[in-house]
Amino acid sequence: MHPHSNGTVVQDYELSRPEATLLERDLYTSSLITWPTVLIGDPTPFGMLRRPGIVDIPVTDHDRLVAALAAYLDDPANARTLVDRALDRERRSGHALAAADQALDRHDEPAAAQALSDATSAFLQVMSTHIVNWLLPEQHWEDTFTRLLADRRAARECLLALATPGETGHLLDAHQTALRAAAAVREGQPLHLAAAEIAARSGTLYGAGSPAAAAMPLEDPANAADLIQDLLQRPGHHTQIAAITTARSRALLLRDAWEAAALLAAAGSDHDVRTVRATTLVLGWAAGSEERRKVLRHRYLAAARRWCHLTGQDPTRITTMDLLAPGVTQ
Amino acid sequence: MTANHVPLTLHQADDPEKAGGKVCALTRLHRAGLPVPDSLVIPAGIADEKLPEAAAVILRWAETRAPHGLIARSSAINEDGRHHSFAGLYLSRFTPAHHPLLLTALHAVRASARSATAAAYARQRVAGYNPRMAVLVQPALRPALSGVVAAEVAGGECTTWRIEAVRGLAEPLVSGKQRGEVHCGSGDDRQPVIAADQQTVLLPATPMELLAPPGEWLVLDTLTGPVPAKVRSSGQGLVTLHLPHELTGIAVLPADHRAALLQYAARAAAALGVERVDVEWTISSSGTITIVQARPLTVPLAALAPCSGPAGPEDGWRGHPAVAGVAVGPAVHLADDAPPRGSVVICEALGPEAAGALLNSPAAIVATSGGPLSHTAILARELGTPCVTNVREVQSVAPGTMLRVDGSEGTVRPTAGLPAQRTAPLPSPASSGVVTTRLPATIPHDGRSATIVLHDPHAGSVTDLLTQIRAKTAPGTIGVLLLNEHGRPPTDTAPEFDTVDLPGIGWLLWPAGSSPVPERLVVLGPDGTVIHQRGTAWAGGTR
Repeated sequence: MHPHSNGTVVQDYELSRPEATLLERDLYTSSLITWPTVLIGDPTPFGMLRRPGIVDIPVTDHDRLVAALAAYLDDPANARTLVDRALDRERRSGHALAAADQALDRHDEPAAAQALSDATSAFLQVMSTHIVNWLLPEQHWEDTFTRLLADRRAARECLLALATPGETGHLLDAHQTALRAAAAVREGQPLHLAAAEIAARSGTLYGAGSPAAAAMPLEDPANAADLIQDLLQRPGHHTQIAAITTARSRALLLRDAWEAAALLAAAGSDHDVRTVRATTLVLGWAAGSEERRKVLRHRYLAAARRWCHLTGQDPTRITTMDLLAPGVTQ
Repeated sequence: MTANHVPLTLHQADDPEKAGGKVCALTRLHRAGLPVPDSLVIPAGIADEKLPEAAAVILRWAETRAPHGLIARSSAINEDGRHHSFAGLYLSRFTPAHHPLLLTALHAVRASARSATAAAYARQRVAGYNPRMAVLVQPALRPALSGVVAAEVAGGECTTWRIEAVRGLAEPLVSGKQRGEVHCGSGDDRQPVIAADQQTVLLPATPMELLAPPGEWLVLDTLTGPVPAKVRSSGQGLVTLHLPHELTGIAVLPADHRAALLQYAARAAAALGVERVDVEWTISSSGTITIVQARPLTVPLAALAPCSGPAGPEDGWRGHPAVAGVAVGPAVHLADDAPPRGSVVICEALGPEAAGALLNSPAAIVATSGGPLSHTAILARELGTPCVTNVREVQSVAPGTMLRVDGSEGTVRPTAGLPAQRTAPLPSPASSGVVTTRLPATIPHDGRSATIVLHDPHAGSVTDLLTQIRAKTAPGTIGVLLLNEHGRPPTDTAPEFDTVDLPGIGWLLWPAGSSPVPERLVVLGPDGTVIHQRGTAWAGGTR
């Protein structure tokens, strides 16, 4: 974000995401403007859309809403509400995208349009959580935990450990999918079936960029088959799943240990205990949320691209409005 | 000019007592045929009341000369001398060509003659310091690139020299905010060029350009043609542009312009009658060189920063702490092959295809972008590998360079070698109550006196937790720690558990008739070491 002398703060996704399509920029800016409503129930828009990709945010609104988010997240009940609602939106997005994929597979244009509309509606709210990347009250947390643990280094270690996702992050998860597929092939599963599994589950995640304008390499099962063959030829691939499981278990143990440490340090002050509980909840969710959002974003963009191909549209020119109300803006 | 010749033109300004050191040097360069900017001079000693009229004259003069505004520059009587330069101590101020703003700039520049910093410098170095100052006003040049040449000159040629160049104005370079592209040489020996570290480009702007908010596109003129660039910020007649992606890694100063700059530097030294010269220059997009300033170089070139690569500052590069821990290892840039065990892996944003490579036990991961919740950070955290993110500078680190990565502090720094083995004994849980957030599946024989489970009211009732504990055939004592969140627990929660008041902590549900409550509570990390401890201050009382 860049402050401007006219009293606004400018968020520019054209700069941070130069290769993004119009739809991607629209997703980011539309969801940015609505995050106060989506996350903390404040109807104030977080700025005004200059164009898809750029939002001008009045400094006064920016500062007030960021402070409101910090205050909101300091209460474990609020934090739990935020997390529960966010998880529900992720589920709704996932279901709608599954429906969209099925409709696209059978070239059912009306059903695909409806499912994509539902997915867009739900996913825009999921996208509002992308602000957790840079609007979480990290300094406030670090200062608070430094006071509790009497050591800034320990506070940082604690907060970093608390930001461990409860479920495997998407990079390791995709790699595990590939490793399992390789193991299945080694045990006799036909290569094409294993490759199709990778392509469907995590094909949109491999490769540079996003699947908004063109398919990612592993959306093609033939390329997924090549990945499996490559893994089968690499020494030690069969031990990697165990290594991932061990590492993940240790990371979760470390997270739990630091949660216990922070609670023990806070014990005696109800306010501090509440802060630790809320911070633990939010950080764990935020870490996982970013992982799930990435997966959903690529699934969504790939589905939108396939819908464009089905309906003869240019995937680089569509916006969320085209998907929310197909036919209206065409 | 006005009847009483205020302001002066450059060729009228050759009296050092009136025009100051900087102006007189420019006048000498001008007379020697060197390309210096059009200039007007407000002499030292002019009363403040005369400034509005002088500003009006300047603006009339600037009408056809200054599409990008003006710059008002100090020219103090003692400035740019052979033995003391006052470099950076006085003010230069860009300003739109607008009367109130120009007047403000003139006053500000003149006031810098009496600044505390300049006075302190003068007290140390100049006998009989004279704070009088002229003001040099020039059209703001809009350079494609600019910079400084420091050279030692003999026989009309630069024998030893150092050039630093950046795109746009040189102000961020001379103020130390940017590291320019560095060219060094001695005689015919030219050292390898060191790349600039420049993310933004500062330029004087037209009034219309100053209205463009951050995010809008302006044109950045380069020697090879115009390139669209985004506004980052603007104000005081200047606009800061993001360096366009297509210019990243592209050389700033071509060799032919470097040669021309060295010729100008030698001529400037001759014009000033010195053997060591410091020249500030600009080059327009059409390739025209302008000498903005020249003065004697007050220190030998050898005393300047050595011409070496960006090995990294002594205190390292700073990024975002991402995964705690300290590690040392040789730098490896992530490629197709798995990095060797124990290496410090330098990478950009990762995809799943990189996950396998990072399972090979690297010592640490340094990402050039991202924050503590970035996908790379999450991956490193899951693998337990120390990690720092958003350290752009490591892109230029040579493979094999030994790096020390501190994932808690968020620092990366070159180091001489591997650290000494840690020999201090680690704290152990002996005779302590080990606090956990959940009932462990198995309880290790690690010398603990008890296991104490923290109760989370949201996860379930105390009664349910006690039921689980009763069902457990685990070694040792198991208690439940209740934090004060919901007040004192009822005394009949569980008859076989005493409710022990731990002052300043909460209440402990402790098996009746078991061993005494531990005096120390500890939390263990996954490797069994104590990461936090607290005394219970238990006085022996129960409910």
